[in-house]
Amino acid sequence: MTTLLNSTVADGATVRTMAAAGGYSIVGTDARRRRADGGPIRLRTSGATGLWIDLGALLFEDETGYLTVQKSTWSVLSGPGRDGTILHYDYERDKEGYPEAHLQVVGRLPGLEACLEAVGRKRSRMQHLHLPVGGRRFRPALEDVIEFLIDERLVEAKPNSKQTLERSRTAYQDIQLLAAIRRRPDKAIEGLLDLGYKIQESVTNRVG
Amino acid sequence: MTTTIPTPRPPSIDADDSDEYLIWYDDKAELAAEIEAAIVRLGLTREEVARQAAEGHFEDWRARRIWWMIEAFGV
Repeated sequence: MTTLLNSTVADGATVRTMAAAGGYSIVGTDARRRRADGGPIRLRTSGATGLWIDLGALLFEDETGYLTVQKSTWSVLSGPGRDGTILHYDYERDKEGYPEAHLQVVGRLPGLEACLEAVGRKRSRMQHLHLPVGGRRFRPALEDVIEFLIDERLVEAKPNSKQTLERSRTAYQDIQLLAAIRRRPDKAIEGLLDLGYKIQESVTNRVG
Repeated sequence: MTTTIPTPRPPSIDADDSDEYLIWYDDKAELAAEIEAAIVRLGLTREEVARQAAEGHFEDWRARRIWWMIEAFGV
């Protein structure tokens, strides 16, 4: 993540992992010893208004030994105080009540608030809604969020950023695809058979 | 064409996960003190952070990170 940020839309960004015995670890922007809560990092902008990104992920090792995301958040913030949250892409594994992968956007929409009030949610605002974004396997990548900021000219990208993002995103999507195949090998086999492959099951896979 | 579906194996550690990017806490007391300091900096209490977590909406991004640390490290 550090390399990705510094080769596209940031200078001097750091993303570190905090870990202790117990199996969980946290990845976060600007995390430091004695200041582990870290914080957002400033992005390159041509305008004077500050734009920031806060990245965080809570990771664990699943029952088969794969590093797995329990929760993650990619937040975009504005203003000199880094406290003006614009939006955040979140993922919360096994969440009930709203989609695991969702987008929350801060804003006021009187029409929406009237609808919410009518169903008993008088204090709810736009930012309280969890907009679904692709589900567990196909949720947006950090690269998508960075590219969005570039495409909307909110940040000033470094040369070759698009190629860097594409390479990095492809690697992420390949990991997600392999995870999907591990969970649904029947569908992977179906797809390969459709392409004319012949599938030979290995002996080691017959158990379990 | 014949394709064998291999037995899954754990991935190797990513190249970016070097010591330079890793903060390892041997001492849970040190970690607990950091968390308490972070809560004070934010002007909240541990109970307030827990309440926001239960509601599923953190009013400040800092509270989310603090809650994750409490959850992850059990301190």
